[in-house]
Amino acid sequence: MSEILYKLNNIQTSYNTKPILNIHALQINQSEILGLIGSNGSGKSTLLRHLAFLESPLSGELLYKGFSHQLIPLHVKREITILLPEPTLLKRSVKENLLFGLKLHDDMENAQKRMEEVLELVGLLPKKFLQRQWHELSSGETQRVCLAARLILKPKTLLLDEPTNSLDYNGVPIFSDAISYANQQWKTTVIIASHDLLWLSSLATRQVGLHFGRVMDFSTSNFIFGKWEEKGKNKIFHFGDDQHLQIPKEWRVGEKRGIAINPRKISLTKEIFTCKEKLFFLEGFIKEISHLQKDDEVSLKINVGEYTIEAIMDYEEFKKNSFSLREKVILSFSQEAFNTN
Amino acid sequence: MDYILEGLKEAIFLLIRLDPETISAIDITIRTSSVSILLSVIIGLPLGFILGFFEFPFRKSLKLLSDTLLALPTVVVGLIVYAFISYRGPFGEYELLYTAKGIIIGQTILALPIVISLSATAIEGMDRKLYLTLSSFYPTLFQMVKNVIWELRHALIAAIVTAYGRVVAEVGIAMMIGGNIKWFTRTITTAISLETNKGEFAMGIALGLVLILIAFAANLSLFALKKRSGGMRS
Repeated sequence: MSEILYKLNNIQTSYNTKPILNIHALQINQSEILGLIGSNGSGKSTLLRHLAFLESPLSGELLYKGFSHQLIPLHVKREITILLPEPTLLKRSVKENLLFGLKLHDDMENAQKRMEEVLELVGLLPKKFLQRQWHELSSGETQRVCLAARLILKPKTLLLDEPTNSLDYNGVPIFSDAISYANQQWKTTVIIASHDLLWLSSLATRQVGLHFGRVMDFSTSNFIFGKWEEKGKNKIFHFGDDQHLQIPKEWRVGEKRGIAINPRKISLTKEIFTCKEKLFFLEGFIKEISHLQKDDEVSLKINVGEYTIEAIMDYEEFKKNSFSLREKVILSFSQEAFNTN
Repeated sequence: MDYILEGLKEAIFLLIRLDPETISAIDITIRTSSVSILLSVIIGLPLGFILGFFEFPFRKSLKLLSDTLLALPTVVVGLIVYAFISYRGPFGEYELLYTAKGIIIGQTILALPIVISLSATAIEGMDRKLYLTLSSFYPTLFQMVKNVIWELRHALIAAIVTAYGRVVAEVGIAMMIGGNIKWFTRTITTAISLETNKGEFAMGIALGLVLILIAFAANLSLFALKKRSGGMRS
């Protein structure tokens, strides 16, 4: 069983009275790769800055290895490193940027070898890039050097905020490999906030959803982003295949930025049925089935129009219905599925 | 028109043959302005950093005061310093009036608000991304200060060059405190003023050219520094 690295209790943060984070309880284990998902403004970046101790919560308890955010010693803090969105290099050469953290931490042992190792990890040739100035790099190269400047510290905790933002299609798998390498070789705990759900699900050992600063009571993603059409007393979301989801405005669910549907509260049937309860129905095709061994559950990813919705059910129930890939299914859920804690 | 051209010709001649009186004024100007800038940087840069970086009570009021002092007339500085160092003033016993040291005190006071205010503005306006990036390596306070200054070096040097430009070109303090004494406290600006009053355009123009050259050299060195460290694209 992994040790607990971070423990957050009743964390609340607001900017100018606008609540940004309201986390009742969250634990992050050592050596896991945790994916943080959520729409813009859901609080992912703020949470990462809190975890990096760059910002403090207004109230609540944030513990790292048992140290509270007020009392964490500098040498423990220096185990953590964060790659911010829109990464910024210091106005120096690549070499000086890589050495910056090492000099600051007074850890210059094998510096040359470490510089070469991390540049190779992020897919840059040391001979070509070490002497380059910060303004001689493209945005993708800057992003890579920024990650390398964090990796060179061999951090125990690596926080990444939208790390694939400026990367081209070659860069993304290189970043995946570098992150996995740090996780496996150095036992680095990695926490990644990203909108690239597909990439994140391929890398993360666990995912946590944030919705308006709250941690979802389910850990997988079913966020429906995009434009909601207002029609009378309702809000309508179009899935792009003549199907839509219509919810009354008064529910105040995902008022501006969409909704999250709890995958464990979605029922799957092969045929549509009638019900007295107020239910929502969507039709889709199963595109992926995976067994979640930890809880003996099955995750089914279903294409609904241009979107993917995940439903999670007990293995027994899955066996009873014998769902198969590419099969057409009916998803049904009630208002309860929209709730967050 | 002829007398201007004649003056220009004579000015170039004075510079080429290193006229002692002209050289003396240049020498005094460079010495007083350099020392006063050095002092204002030693005092002003830390104050500017504190004013721009830290949050404390009355910070904004102090910044406003510093900004207001940017427009401090040189004659007012001259008057205040004169009052303090004249023989009847509290520092009269030090005999600073009509000396280069007196000029340095006045010019330091003139340059201080410029160094404080412009450096505070540069630090205050530091990119939040840069601040977070530096913070993400968890520097000590000393490491943070050192690196913020290094990252903002161009803006800070620009502040110093601006202050130098104002000091080197001022006439009020040098005239009132220095007394425009030939070979001792006569600076380029006071010499220009005197020579023009006497109708000696040649020396005035020669010194004017040197003054422009000094300002150009200061800005050129800033430009070269920026270019060398990649602060601007060629």
